[in-house]
Amino acid sequence: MRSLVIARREFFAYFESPIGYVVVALFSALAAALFFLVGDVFFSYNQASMRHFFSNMPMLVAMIAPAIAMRSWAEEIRSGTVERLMTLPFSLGQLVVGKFLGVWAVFAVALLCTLLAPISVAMLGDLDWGPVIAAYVGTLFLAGAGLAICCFLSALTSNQIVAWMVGACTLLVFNLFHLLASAVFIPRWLAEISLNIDMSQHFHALARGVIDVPSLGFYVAVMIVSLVANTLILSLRRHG
Amino acid sequence: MAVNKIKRSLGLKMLLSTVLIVVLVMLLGTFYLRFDLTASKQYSLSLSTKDLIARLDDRLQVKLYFNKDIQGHEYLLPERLLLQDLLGEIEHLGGDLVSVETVDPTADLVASRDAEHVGITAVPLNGQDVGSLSIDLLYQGLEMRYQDSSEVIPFVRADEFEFAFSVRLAALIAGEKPVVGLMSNEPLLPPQMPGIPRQVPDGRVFEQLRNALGERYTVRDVSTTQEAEIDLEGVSTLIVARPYQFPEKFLVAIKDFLSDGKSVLLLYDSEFIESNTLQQTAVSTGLESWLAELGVNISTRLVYDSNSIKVQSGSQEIETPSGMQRVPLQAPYGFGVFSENDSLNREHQITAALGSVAFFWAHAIDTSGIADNLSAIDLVTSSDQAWLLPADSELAMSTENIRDLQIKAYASGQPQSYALASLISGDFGNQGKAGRLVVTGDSDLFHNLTLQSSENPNREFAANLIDWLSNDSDLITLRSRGLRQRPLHDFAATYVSTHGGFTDDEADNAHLSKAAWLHTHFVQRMISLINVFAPMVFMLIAGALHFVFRRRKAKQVKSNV
Repeated sequence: MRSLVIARREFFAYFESPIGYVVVALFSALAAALFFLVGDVFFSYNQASMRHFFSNMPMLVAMIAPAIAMRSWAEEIRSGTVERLMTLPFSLGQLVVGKFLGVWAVFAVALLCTLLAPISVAMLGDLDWGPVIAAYVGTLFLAGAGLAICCFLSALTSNQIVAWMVGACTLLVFNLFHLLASAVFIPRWLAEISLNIDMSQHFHALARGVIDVPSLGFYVAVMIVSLVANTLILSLRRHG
Repeated sequence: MAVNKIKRSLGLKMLLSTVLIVVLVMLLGTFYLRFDLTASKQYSLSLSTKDLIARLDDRLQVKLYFNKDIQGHEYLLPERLLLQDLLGEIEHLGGDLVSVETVDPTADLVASRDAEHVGITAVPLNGQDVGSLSIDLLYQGLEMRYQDSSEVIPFVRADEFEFAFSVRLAALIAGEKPVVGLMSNEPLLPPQMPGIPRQVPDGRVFEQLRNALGERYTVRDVSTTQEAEIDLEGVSTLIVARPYQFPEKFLVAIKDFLSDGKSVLLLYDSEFIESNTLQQTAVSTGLESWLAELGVNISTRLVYDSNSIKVQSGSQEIETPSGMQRVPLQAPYGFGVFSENDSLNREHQITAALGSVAFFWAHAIDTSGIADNLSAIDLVTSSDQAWLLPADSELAMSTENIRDLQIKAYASGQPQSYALASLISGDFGNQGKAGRLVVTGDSDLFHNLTLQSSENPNREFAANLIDWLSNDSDLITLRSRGLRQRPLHDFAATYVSTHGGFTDDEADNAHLSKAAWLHTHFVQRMISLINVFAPMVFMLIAGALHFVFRRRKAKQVKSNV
């Protein structure tokens, strides 16, 4: 519960600067533009389906999640407020989880702003809302995993731009592991591992309309590992 | 020292938690816990398939011939994912009794030979070529082996997968397919000669119906020539197709079959129409007096419906964005009754999930005087804007005749809805056994020319009828599952209809079609732009308001201080 106090502070602090609004607006605009405008995919497909909308999500999240998470720790380190933060009556774990929940809530707001797209599609045809709900849940978990990784990376540097770039590259790699699986020189076991740790593969299973517990479990595991690593990094910083 | 100790302790904690989580994820992966949120439970097997899998008492081997590489044809991906998903669920449900193996005949020579041996051939792909990277052959076949038998689906489509799989599994478990009798005046097939492909005689106009049912049933021909033997042994359902001067002994056989509590599908026509010349000949079926005894009256007049199939009635030149083009002119042909929505009985399993049924030169069925021991319900009707026209009406599909027919129909009186397919059930022979008879006022709805397209909805109607009459209604539910088409609203059609529709004037039509195209393009562009900019503008306004309020608040605080 104490983490929620930190999460609340982080969430509102995000919207104290214009960057929060810009990132949210950019995300919803990009998602809609890729769906409705680029290549005219939606109207030429002529189906009341959000499949193409969500097929772009892993790449969009790889760009936007680092932008949301980059300031979480890097800014505190740069301005020197991280030491003060550690003196507050919160454990490191609570601080890490709180900050993570804060940025996750920011992403949820950005995702809410894309709801106009399924509403428009539902007005244009008989949209099946089940896959849309599953895909939104999937996007939220995919972003949760991405944000947790980026929060951890943000704790490694005091430069927000570096945090964004490293975060974006890391998430891109996590989304492209499946390409490794189709390479001919890769042994079968390695191909299977690369498919299993690919974030977009787990997302596509969810985006079809099936809430697959193992896929959600994968994202939760990534979040936990990243948050534990984040806590470890901050512990090392605290202890010099 | 202390710092090192802390570092070691934290490192250990980190390592332990990571290992714990990896183990947890691996354990989670072995669980098959999922929630299918799609409207038709598209990614989940139905109860009837699960029941079939539960009935397995020996090992079922499923081999999917599937080329993994679909480069250049990525649009196939959703269908392929659905297939793999359903096979995964079958494997999970079957446990040790079901094994699913996927082989790629394009990469594996042995698999390629096996595919050829069992009759699975690659489907050539055209039109999506992206150079040397694009594949041109697609394997998507399935082989099922159970005990000493095997079944093959040469090309498995995801939307029909569960049905195709289940009927074959049912046949493998039962050891044989149910038998459907087809009684008609068609010529019989010549005997099969080794090494010589069998020629289908011209007059076999229900060959496509046989093919459509052949996946699930063994279709046995029952010839109606005077000298032919009537063999209905083991027949679950009898189809009486286009009866023509039936000898008495066949009528007796039909009556006995129904009295025995079995089912008959009667495809009735009181005239034959030659498909090329559209010349009609009135015929006597030999069943008239029997149907009258039952209280089923089939009109000799033809149903003309304003909700009808569009046919090509000519062609015209129109102006398109790419210049003048000659396009076929389509017009609604009133004798091609198109039954959909309320015209299909949604209360009955046969028609509950059907999209549409199309009739050509149909007759109205009246069951208001049905016999006391029987009951009747209408399965398919015309729309309520239908009329009856004389059987000798001109049937040509030219624009002029279509207009003349329309005038005649409107002048013939008040429109009303007419039954085109009815179900009569009850004790036909007073032997205490309930038989079932479905009568359609048209036999052309299952004619080769109607069913030649595998997409034709009448195929589904035929299969549903036979499944229900053969007491296999579970299959009807299975057949209607799969990827459902959800087309977008047709702005162009709405625009055309709100502007009076197309007329005989080519110039007007060209102008209207261009305006409809521009209107559609405009609406689509507007929807796209609203979706892109509305949330952005909303967020920017929210941000601006937030900063204005904050500044005002700060000023207020400053002034107070």
